[in-house]
Amino acid sequence: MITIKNLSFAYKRERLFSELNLSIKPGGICGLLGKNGAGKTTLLKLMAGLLFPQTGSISIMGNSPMKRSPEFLQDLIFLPEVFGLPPVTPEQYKMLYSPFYPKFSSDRFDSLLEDFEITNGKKLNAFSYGQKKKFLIAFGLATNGRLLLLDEPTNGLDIPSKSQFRKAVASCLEDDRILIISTHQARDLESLIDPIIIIDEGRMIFNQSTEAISSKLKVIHQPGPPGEGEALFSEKTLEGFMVVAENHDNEESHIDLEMLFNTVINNSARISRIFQDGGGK
Amino acid sequence: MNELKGFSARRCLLLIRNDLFLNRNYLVIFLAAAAGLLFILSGGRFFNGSAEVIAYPNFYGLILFILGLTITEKTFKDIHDDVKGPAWLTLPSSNLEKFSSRLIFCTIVVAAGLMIFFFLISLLWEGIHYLLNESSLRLFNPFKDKVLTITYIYIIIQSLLMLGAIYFKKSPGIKTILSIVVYVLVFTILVAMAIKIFFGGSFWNLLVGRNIMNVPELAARNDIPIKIWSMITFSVRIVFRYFFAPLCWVIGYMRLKEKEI
Repeated sequence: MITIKNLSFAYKRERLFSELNLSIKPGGICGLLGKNGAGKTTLLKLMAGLLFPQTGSISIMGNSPMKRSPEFLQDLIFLPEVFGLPPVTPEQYKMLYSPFYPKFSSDRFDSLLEDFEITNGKKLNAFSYGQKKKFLIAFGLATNGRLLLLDEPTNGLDIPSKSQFRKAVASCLEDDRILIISTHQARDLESLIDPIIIIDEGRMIFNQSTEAISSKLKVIHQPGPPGEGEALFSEKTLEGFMVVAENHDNEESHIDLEMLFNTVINNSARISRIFQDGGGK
Repeated sequence: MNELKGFSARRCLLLIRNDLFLNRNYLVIFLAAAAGLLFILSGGRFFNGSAEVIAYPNFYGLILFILGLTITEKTFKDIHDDVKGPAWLTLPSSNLEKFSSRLIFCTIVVAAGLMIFFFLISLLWEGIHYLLNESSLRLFNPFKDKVLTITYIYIIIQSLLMLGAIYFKKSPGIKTILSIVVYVLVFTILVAMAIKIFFGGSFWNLLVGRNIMNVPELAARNDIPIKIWSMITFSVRIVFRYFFAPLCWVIGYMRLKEKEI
């Protein structure tokens, strides 16, 4: 369980979070969405203990990330968007770093490397960005840590790798594990993410399960533009208009993440009212 | 392994092993260059059948300072690196283990490694020298007073550079030296002013050095300022010898604990 209470954080000149409250339950893949500069990476770094909150507290499975205790770090895998790897082979990397993770599974690591088509002979620093990322994802999943923080994990992955990544991530989902994926590429992970958290201007403006979203919002395809006040968000498509509206009649529809994101960003106050009325998390 | 609360010797050793492994190329190249330099410097004496190929302790000191200080700067660079830093800081080990491992690596491992290296080199030289000149050389003795004193001074100086490497993101060596120069200048001016104000009558000018203190007439007066001065210099020596390095270690550890990246 992740509990963030009244968290405030600022870089030297810029206040990013003010009184942020958030709680994430284990057993799901939480999608962290937000515009550029909204604070997604900063929030992940705060959870990883790489940045410290100015006020407020973060508790992750009973640990304070600020302490960077070995017990907490053994359960943590943080994959930043920009990372470096030492000039060693995958086998040497395993030899150097796996002893720090008591739950590391060598078999799982080897099988993930095979799935990701990563060969053992080459040194890691000679890998392409996508290969490096796949390697780190494989290592991270093999550690069997309970908290995985992935910052833009599908950036730089080719189409087959994205599908392998989805498969690998889905297979590691367990009741006591929390995966938080920060991404701009919402479509890559649409099928996996639940719940969805959206942050904007240092505030969490949305934190709902996909079930709650389906029960409260619906998507309608219509030939003409929506009437005033009728739609929460609309987008012109080749066939007409795609409209997101309140789901008063429990109609089943699929709202994609990009539409949801735009709806929430453009109508945060109204969305908040809609979800306050039961059904939310 | 001994597992104290918050400190695991096993993890600390693993971290040292990793540092050694990841710096192996640098160490090998450096030591090969040192051996080459030693050979060039000692070449003349070597073929003349001189009793000692080179003043080993001095050369050991030179190599220890260059290697130790560069490796300190190199290893602690990671913590400021936005790319490498997160991986090191989130590696499952406590801040104390991370700090201790790098401290041990840059001091004990480097110094002990160099001692073994110099001993082996001297052994090699001994063999070659015996074959060429049929006489024996003096071997490098790691337990010689001079060698141990050099190592001790290195550990003290290294602690300061290590602190600088933890504090400064770029060019820690130069910035540490510059900081020391500034601190020493400011401290000297303040002390000189204080001495002039409070003990001005006992000195001829602002330059209060050992020579002045040793003037027999002054010493014979058994003046209080002279006693105070002796106490100050004695205290400074004690602090430098026994407390300076631990102080730098403690500050460095505290800084590492609150390092954000």
